[in-house]
Amino acid sequence: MELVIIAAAIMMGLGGLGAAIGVGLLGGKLIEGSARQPELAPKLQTTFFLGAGLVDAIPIIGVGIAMYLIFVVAPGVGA
Amino acid sequence: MARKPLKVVNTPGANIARPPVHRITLVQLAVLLPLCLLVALADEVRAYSLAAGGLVAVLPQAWFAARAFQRRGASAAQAIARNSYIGEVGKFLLSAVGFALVFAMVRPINGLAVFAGFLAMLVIQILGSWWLLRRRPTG
Repeated sequence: MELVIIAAAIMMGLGGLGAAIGVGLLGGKLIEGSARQPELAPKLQTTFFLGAGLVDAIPIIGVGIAMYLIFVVAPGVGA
Repeated sequence: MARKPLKVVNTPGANIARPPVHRITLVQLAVLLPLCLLVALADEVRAYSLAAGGLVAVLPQAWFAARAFQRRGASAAQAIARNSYIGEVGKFLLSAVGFALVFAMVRPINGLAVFAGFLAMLVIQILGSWWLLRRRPTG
């Protein structure tokens, strides 16, 4: 049963790492793009918003599945 | 005809219209509530599980949108990126805490309905962001 907890931890950790890399890249490109073409900054900000929503969707679903594993599949181990 | 004098604004980017991101949240809630009521006619557990999953998606997303669009304009690009990172961390933590609370405290729970509600709100969020990107700026 402890394997369920380890699986949940790996799921959340790797998901968070991926999201951090993705949003970091997006933020860097937002600053770079705004510096190159300031008139496009509002559009880039909205594109960033859309991109960030897509990038963090999968890790957050991973976190949700991890919480399901911890609290529903193996509640005795998590308590 | 006399023109109105222009108002001097000192905050960078303050004269750029804020995109109506709050509308996405309103649409999400407008879809979620009737959907839950409809499902409640068939199964109560599925209905509140669906509502819980939807709210776990909507509330952190609203927080992120508020943080990401706090500042506007090219001169505030670094502040926008910083606010967005803070918003992203907050969104991640709020989602984790939300899922933990739902799965730990709500009994009985239908896991599939929780994830269905979450995914439905996610689809509306992506479509709403795409609509924001395509609309012509008014400000």
